[in-house]
Amino acid sequence: MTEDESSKRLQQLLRLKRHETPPPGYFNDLSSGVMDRIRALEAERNTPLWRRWFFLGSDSQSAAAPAGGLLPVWVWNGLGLAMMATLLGGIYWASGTNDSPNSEGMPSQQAAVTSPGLSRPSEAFSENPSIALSGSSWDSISSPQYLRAAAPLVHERFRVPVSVSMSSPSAELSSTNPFPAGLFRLPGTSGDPGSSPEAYRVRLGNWSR
Amino acid sequence: MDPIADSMMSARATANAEEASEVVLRVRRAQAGDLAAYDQLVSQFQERIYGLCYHMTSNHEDAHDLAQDAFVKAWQALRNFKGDSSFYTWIYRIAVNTCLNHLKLRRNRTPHLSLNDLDVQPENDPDLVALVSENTPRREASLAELQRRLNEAILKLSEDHRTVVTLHDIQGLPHEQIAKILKVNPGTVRSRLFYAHQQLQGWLSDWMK
Repeated sequence: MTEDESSKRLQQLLRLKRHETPPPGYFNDLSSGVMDRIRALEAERNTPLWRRWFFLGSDSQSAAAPAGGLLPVWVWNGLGLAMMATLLGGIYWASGTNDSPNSEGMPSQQAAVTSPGLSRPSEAFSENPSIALSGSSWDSISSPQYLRAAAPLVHERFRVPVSVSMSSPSAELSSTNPFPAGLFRLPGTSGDPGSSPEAYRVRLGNWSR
Repeated sequence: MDPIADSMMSARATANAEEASEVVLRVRRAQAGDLAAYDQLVSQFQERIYGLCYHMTSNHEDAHDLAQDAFVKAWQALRNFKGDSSFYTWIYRIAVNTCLNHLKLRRNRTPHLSLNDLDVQPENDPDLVALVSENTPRREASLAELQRRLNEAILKLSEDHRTVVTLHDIQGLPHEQIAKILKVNPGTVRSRLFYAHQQLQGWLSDWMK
């Protein structure tokens, strides 16, 4: 058999495939299925984002979510769980650092950050407690976030309440006080050592003046 | 030229032009959000798209799902359809890519054939009757057996080769149209067809004598 004849024979065989068609009425179901899916997509697209988010886990929305949503439902569920865990962890952390009793009337175990060249107060507290507990002297540190990082360390190491004062609470600083309420207090203006308007103080124990 | 043949060709060309302009109008209406117009497009192309999906997978259930997927994807992308190619070429390209993605996902699974629900009337095809009753060494073999062997052979082809065999030998698309659908050169289409035919002739040698 020549190559042309083989090719012709093969094409005859392949033409048999053209007879493989589904039963009558089959395509009515196909087109209606397509239109149903498109209508579902359009309905979902017209749903506000907040509503889609809110009803993501409900029966009415969960089927459509994987088709038109940005992410599958299980991803949203995982994100929700992670957010909840983060929130609970934050609450736990805050309660752990905020267990200082009412500082009014407690005995004062006063200390301060005293290292003049201090770059990170947490280093002073963790590496050299004697510096941290050097008495009633005060020093300033450069950045309020250091205080925020240092306070839990001090509390954990010395098991005493911690309070922080700001020596020069300008209006700007007072209004943007970055510290958690109840843990740190703005000092009064009278008798505060240090003249630098950017000075911050760390005091162990009861803050009272 | 035979005047009857000439008039038939002219009538066919007119019909094709009318169909093309009708498709263009429906596409424009669908792009404006007219779901009924898109429904008409689906009805117009569903048999060909379904056929493509079926011949790529040899499975009616998969073909049904893939054809639906292709039409839904086309609806979602319809606003981006600029008309650089015909809608026919464009929807075929989406369907081919949908099938290829599906086949890649199922590459390691054993394909299963579903030939029990075919609406086959090949007895009316004189070429096939001759093929089975006279040109094969297995005269007792049924058409179903031939179909089974044919499908097995086609499924053995690589996805690229199967695609061109499906589009050209089964669905009857010309090389140039296939090249546009697959975004390859017509020479590449011919080359793939040549190698696919070589393989099929080897696997179907019993039926080639």
